[in-house]
Amino acid sequence: MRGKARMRKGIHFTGGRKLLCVLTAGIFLLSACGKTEEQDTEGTAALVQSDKGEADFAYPYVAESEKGYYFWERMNQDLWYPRLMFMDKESGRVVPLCSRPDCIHEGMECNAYFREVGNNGGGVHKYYLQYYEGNLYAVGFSEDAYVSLFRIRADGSAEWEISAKLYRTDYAATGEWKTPEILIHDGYVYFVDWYQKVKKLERMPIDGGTSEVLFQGNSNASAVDIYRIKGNGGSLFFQVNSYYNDTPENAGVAAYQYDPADGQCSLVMEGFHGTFSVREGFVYYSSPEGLCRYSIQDQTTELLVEQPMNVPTITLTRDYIILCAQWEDGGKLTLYDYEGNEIATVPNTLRVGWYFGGNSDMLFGECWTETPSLVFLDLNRPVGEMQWEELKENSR
Amino acid sequence: MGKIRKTVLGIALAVCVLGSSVSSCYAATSSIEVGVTATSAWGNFRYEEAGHHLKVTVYYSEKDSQGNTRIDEVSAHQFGNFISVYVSRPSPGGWQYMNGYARGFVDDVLEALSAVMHA
Repeated sequence: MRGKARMRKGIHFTGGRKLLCVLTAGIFLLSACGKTEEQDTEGTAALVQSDKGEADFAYPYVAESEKGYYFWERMNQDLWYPRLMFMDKESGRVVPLCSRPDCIHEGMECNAYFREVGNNGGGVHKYYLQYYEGNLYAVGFSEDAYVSLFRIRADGSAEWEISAKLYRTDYAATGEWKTPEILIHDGYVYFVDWYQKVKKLERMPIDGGTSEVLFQGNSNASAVDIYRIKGNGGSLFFQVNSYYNDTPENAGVAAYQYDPADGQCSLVMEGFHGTFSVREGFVYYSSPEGLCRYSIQDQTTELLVEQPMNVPTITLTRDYIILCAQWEDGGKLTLYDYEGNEIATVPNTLRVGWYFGGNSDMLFGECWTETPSLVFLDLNRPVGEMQWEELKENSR
Repeated sequence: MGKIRKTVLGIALAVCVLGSSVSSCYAATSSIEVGVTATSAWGNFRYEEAGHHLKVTVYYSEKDSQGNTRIDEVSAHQFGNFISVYVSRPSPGGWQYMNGYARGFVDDVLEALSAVMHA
């Protein structure tokens, strides 16, 4: 599927002032993309998200390169053709990923617009996005009915192609789209087919080929969910929730480690409640007693914060352990140091509902207010000045 | 005389432009609805002109008992004036719908977008 799909709706022309702004943004993007490409050919920007242990995304919806962040815009009443965007790390400027010099970056003609998943044709699902060895990868649906990994050139040229066909679905007939859990790591795409009830973790070479099953949920369970595939220290970690007797009360939650060197999956720990994260040989998780840290090597647990937790998402950065509950108190962050001392809380002024995670510099999330929108938080600000900000074109 | 001729021509031109603009601007009315509860999500899309292929897609976010969140979608399509789609639970993992919104398409072109509704 090379080349862009052309659809019916045309470009809407606006005033000259806006056009000038957009052209300026385009010129900026051209230079930014050039630098990104140059960086990529040196092979230095490839493994930031998954291999260096710097980024900690519970939901990999923002792709990080050395130069910036890439993300899909959210559709709203003012934006019917959401685009692939680039945020420059140095300047903070946000522009559409389009290198067409004459483009006004509106409508389907813009290079930053990509056709979405639709049951009458192929397209991308505008959530998952990962940067790997100079390209962006998105998940979507191919015209021959496969959930597929799409490779998108990160230079604003709008060139895209199928990188790997993961598995076949009957989505075209049923209209029910279930996004796979997915992570690119060291030349492979690791994925979980969410159409299955008892799920399994598989992997396939990033350029396609035969998939191999790495982990299979317990077939005696009524359902097994697999989440949070994370690369850390050369290994992959993932969370397995097994449900018995069709009730969430009978859930067993466990964290596993897959070692690509020996091809083995091993149980790291089980019996925790909620989510987990891994950094430098330690698993951090919440329990009815509070925030815990488990040493994988010593197999010992210490209680870092003695305070009951409502299944928060945990992000581990260079300086902070960051907790954020999804939806209920979504967007309200609590920052701790690695000794378990509370450093700060950041209020949820923008009604952030869905928290993605991030890295040591930046966190990301999404508001599902009347119109969905993306937000970010700059962790390099002084602690008392941290706040959620809307992530949109030229927002800084 | 020349002035009158120009005026008539001007009026004729205006009528022509206006007429063509009216026909090209004509659009059938449409309406879209979305509903979300913890155990169900639905969307309705109505388009008041016959002979089109309609599609409605509901995008929903959901949360399980462990605090994990996902976004998925469900859609239906057919020829006619009205199309609806419905999904429901329970699920073994305790998944509950949190919120959602709907899009309506006419002949594969986006025609309507609803606001976000919360369960």
